[in-house]
Amino acid sequence: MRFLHAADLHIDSPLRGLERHEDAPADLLRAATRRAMENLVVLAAEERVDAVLLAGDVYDGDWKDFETALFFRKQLERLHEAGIPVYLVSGNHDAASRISRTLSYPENVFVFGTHAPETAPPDFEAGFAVHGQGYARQDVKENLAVGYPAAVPGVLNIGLLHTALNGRDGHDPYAPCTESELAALGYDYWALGHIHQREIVSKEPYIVFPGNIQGRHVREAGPKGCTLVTVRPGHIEAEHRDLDVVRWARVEVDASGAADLDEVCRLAQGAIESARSEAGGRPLAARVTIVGRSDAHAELWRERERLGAEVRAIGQACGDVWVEKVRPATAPAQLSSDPSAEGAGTGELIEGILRTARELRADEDSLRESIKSSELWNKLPPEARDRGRLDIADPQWCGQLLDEAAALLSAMLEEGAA
Amino acid sequence: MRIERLNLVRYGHFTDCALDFGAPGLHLVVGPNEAGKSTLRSAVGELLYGIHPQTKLDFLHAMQDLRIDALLRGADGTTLDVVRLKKTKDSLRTADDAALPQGVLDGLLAGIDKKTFGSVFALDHEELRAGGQALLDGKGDLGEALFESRSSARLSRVQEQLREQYKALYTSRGRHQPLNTLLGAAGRVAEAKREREAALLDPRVYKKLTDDVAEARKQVQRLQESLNRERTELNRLMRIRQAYPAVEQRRRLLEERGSLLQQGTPAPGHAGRAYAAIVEGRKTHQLAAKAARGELARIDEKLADLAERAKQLEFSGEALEDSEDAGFEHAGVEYAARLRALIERVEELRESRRDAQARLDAAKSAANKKNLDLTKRQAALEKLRAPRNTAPLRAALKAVPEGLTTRIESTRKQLASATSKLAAERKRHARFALPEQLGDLAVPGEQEMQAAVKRIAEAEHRAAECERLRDEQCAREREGRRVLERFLQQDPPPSEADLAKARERRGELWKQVRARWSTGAVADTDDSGRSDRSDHEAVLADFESALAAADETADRMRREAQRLAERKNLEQAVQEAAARIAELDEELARARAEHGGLLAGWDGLWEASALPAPSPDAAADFMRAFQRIRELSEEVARQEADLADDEATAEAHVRRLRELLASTYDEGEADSADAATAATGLAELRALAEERQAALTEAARKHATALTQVADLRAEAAEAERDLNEKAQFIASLDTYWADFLATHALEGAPLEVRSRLESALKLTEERNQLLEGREEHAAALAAGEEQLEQTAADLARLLTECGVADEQLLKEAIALRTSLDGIDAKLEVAVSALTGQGASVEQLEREVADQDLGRLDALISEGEQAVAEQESANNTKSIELARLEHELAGLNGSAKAAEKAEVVEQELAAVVGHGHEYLRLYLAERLLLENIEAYRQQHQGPVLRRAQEAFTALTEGRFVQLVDDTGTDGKAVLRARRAPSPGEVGDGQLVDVEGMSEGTRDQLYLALRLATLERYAEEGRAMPLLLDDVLMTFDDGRSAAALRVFDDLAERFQVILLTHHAHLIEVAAAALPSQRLHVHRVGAQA
Repeated sequence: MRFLHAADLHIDSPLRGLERHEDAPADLLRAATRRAMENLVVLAAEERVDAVLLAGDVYDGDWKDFETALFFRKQLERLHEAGIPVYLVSGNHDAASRISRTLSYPENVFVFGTHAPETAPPDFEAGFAVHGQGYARQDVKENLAVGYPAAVPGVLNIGLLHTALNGRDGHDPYAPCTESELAALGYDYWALGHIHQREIVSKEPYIVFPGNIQGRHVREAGPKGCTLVTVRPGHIEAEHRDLDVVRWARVEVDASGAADLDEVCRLAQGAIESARSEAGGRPLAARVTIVGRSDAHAELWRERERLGAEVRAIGQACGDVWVEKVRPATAPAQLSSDPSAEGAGTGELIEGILRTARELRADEDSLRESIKSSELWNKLPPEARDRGRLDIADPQWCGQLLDEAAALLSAMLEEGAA
Repeated sequence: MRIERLNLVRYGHFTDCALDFGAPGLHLVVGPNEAGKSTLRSAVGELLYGIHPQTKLDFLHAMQDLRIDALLRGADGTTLDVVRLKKTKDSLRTADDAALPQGVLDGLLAGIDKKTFGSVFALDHEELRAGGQALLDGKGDLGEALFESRSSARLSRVQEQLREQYKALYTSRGRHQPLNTLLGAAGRVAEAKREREAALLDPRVYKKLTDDVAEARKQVQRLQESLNRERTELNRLMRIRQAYPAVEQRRRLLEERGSLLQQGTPAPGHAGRAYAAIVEGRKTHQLAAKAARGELARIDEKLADLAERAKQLEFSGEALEDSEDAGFEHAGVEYAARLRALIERVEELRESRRDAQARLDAAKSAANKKNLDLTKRQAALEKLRAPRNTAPLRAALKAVPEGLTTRIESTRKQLASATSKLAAERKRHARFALPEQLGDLAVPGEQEMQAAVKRIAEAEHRAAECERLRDEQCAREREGRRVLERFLQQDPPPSEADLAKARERRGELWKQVRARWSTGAVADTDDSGRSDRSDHEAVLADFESALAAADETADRMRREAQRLAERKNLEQAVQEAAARIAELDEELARARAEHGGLLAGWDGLWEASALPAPSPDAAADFMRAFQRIRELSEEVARQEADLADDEATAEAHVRRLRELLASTYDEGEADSADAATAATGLAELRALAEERQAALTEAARKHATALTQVADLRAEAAEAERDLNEKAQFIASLDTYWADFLATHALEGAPLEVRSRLESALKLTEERNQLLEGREEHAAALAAGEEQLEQTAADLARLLTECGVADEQLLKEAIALRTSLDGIDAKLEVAVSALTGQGASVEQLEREVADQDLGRLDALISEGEQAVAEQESANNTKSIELARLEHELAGLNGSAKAAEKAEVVEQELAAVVGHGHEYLRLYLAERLLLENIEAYRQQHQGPVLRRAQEAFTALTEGRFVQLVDDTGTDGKAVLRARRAPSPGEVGDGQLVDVEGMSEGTRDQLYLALRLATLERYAEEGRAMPLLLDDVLMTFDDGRSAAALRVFDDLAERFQVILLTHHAHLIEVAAAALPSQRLHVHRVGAQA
């Protein structure tokens, strides 16, 4: 018996952070989540699976376009035509979504109820039974797993659940439960959703987060897809299969050996090409970070606009690389003998600037107020101030902005004094 | 830290430029432009922090030779002598060239790094002017002013750049800045969001659409059902309306049918067709019988005509004697066949006679030709000569040996060659004087000779070896002697002989002494004996000296035993060599005697041959020459004998051939015979004989051929004659046969004539046969026609009976009645069929028609039609609406349009985030700068302002008396200066903004602030030399003097080195400062 386990489809959730510019491979990246979903359907048919398990979050909660639901239904119909049953639980996003309530499903789809856990009619011929419960509302804080039905004897038992387990960074702690609680139910495979990073939590029994099917921003870098599960007597094998059509990558360029910006660009080219080859022919959305102690440090800051343009041009030359951001995060090449007095030796002036920056960093509120005091801040749309963007609530982001400002100022002062 | 002494040993264009900055007070370094003041400034920096790896100051001195020496003094008074070289490693050295760690120097620098030193402790004219300008740009911002004056870094410029950069991204009133185009209600973000919202499909809209479609479907269905009902009723009315004429017609036809049946009994259905067939058949048969009769009459007429023509033909037919029905009247197919056979026979005979005649003519011509050829051949044969016998000549030719003449020629050539070779060989070896005849000469045997030569060579070799050994030994002996001589020349150790000699001398003198003592000569010495006494003394002295010499010799021999042994060895070697030479001399004499004996024996060997003995060295050559010449002589003799034999044989053959050849010629061939007898050479004769023999053989062959041909021709002529006779006889037999043939068939005339007549008869016969055939056919047709007519009459009779009528007329009437009834039935059928197929039976239709009034029916139909049209219209409208809704619903198939718009929104947001991040970074950088400036102001404002005020007052010579920390219109701290009160002015002087100051005053203010900030370093014990490069360039003398005094005051805490190209400043300084406080150093051209 074989089945596909996927979760967090987030169909029509747009790719974030990619600024439009001429020659960007926008066509290649368009509707990426939809095409990843289509890849899932094709894979299910090719692998002739006995079932497809979808562990919640089909849509973004705040997405209002019903066409997305119609697209999803069309994909389910294709699975129906291929004779593949689908088992679906709703996740926190689906519970919040208006579009998920209106959709009618083809007859191959079993949608689990949201008020109590239940067991779908077991498929004795294929030899499996699926248990599950969907989200009645977005913020399910209670443990759903403990109420799951007893395992059906003589068949493979699969638990379908949208949960953060005992908590995962960056994810709301919905439907909390523990591995041991899941194991105690005696199921053979727990098909979980909610966590976008692929993770095999346990192998006895199998507790698997397949991750989402398409990375949507740089925090969702790396291969994305689903888990293909093959069940043989006494043995379960779970393998990851890529479904993503665009690969997100964090490209780090070590500029330690670079003397100037041109050399950094050459190194960046190598790093981008390497990331591109790792993406297995997919278009790449890349954040390029320049790191290391480098002689080019000050130049990178002073010429950061040119740096950005050159690295983007390198991406464009590849044809299918969209550079999301180019971030200089280098340090000056000269290493201070006293690490606490970073910046000493580059002039007392700069040392004073860095000291002031350190003081300001220690005072988060002041720093936040400083940022807010800018003319721009209140004009920014709320989405731009979201998590992962200009997130003033994130002390790390504020600190990084301050560090960058200090590095930039130091570079300019150095140039002024030179 | 101070620089006590600075020496630019090799640096830039300086060579050993030593400057002593040790004295307290102001140091003024004067040099014209390009004298290297800036080089000097850079030298101080590089002395302290190392020479830049890519320095450009190696134009005079090579890079590796650059060197700066200095004596430095720390704040605590310690001194350090340092040397700075241009090296990657250990560039800092002590005066005695030991590596000096940079850390030692760093101790003196008190944490002042290179950048700080360059920007804080060095100031030139341009920086001073820029500083003054920065004060103006900062509008007197106090923090900025203080901060700016810390160093030469242009903070206000940096702040300006930061501000420019973030303003270029966004300003609250901007329109074209990237963030301005993105943000706000009209910005790209809002626009993209609007487009996204417009593309969204609301689930409620979808739900409503699906509901609308379902409702529209229901309505369409209801309308359709109603329409169907209306249509059914209308159809019913229309049916009745349509049935009206058909029902009426049916009734009329049924009446008509009833009245016809009353008129009589109709014939059965098939009678009409049967009667028509009988009438048609009867007519056909009658016509056929009439035609057959006409044809028979015509044929009879033609037959009569033929009989007449046969009579006219002169052919009785008797010729066909075996025919049973001989005669034309009886002639039939058989007769015609016989006539045809007879014609063929006549033609055959005619052909045979013509062929036989042609063959006879050909035979005659052939016989004549053969006879003519025979006559010609016989004449030619008679002219040919009788053949001659060539056998003897052939035998003689065959007897001549093959290749004899060639061999003779070849032998002659070989003989000539051998003879010339022999002569050449004799000439080559003439030195051996060999006689003409060599055969019986008794020369020594080869082995014997070789053995003798070998022995002589060996003896020679031995003698030579002896000689070589002797020479070597002589050389060795000479070398030994030379070494010995050299040894003896270098104070040789005494030899035994020397010792013996010394002892001998000692003995002799001792004897003399004893002799004198024994004679008492010594005791009797007095005045007279004075000389004796002195003699004795002399002898004694000699003896002592000889005694000492002998002892010394013996001692030396003991001391120098090794050298003595060496001497002995050398002497012994010389002696041994001499003895060996004597031995070798003897051996050499023996070897030479043996060699002489052997040579005498060699001459004895040659006595028997009477030839002079060759030297042993040439013996081998002699033997080779002797044998070669003997072989060649034998070869010449053999060749001569062979040639003589062959020439004798050839002569015998020549004689025989000449005789035989002469005998073959006839009298008429005298010329040829003469040629034969005249020929002498065997080859020539042989060629002539072969030619003659071939000619004779050819003549005999031709004669024989001619004879054979004549015989053959004669036989052929006889054969031709026989053939001619046979052909003539065959023609005669043919003629006889033809006569018999004519007689047999009672014919006459030539074959062609006979054939023509027979062919005419055949033609008539065939024509008659054809006519008779036609006659038979027509007679048969006539009989058949009459039979058919009878049959037809019988059929008619049967039909009358069947129809129950008496005659043919009644039959026709009954048939007509049946036809009328059938016509009515067909019309009825049409009427019924028009009624059926309308969904009701004929009877029902008749009832419905009976129930309806025609006028009312039409009105009902009209109403029904209107109702249906209305319903249809409503239905169409609803269907169109349904189709529209369904189309709309079908259009909602999962389009990604809104999702794509959402992507655009994200892309615009990404631009906002990108630019926003940069904006905030720049903004924060500016904040940092301002914060730092403010912090500095708060920390240093008081002391710095106080010190700056002092300096500023001094610099402005009291025109300004105070620097005031004031508050600007925008609430910021600003710097203002208070003028000294004008004479007569009451209270404080006027406060002046930076903007209100003259350029020069601003420069002075900047200088004052800049100098004031330095004090902090002095307080921290981190004072460094202050290098001021032409900072007083734009100051007048008064201000310069004031500034110089300020510098001098400062020089207590800092070492102040003022570089200038104004020599004039020296005078100003000399006037302004006490002489012990001013130290002028000249560099460059003024040095």
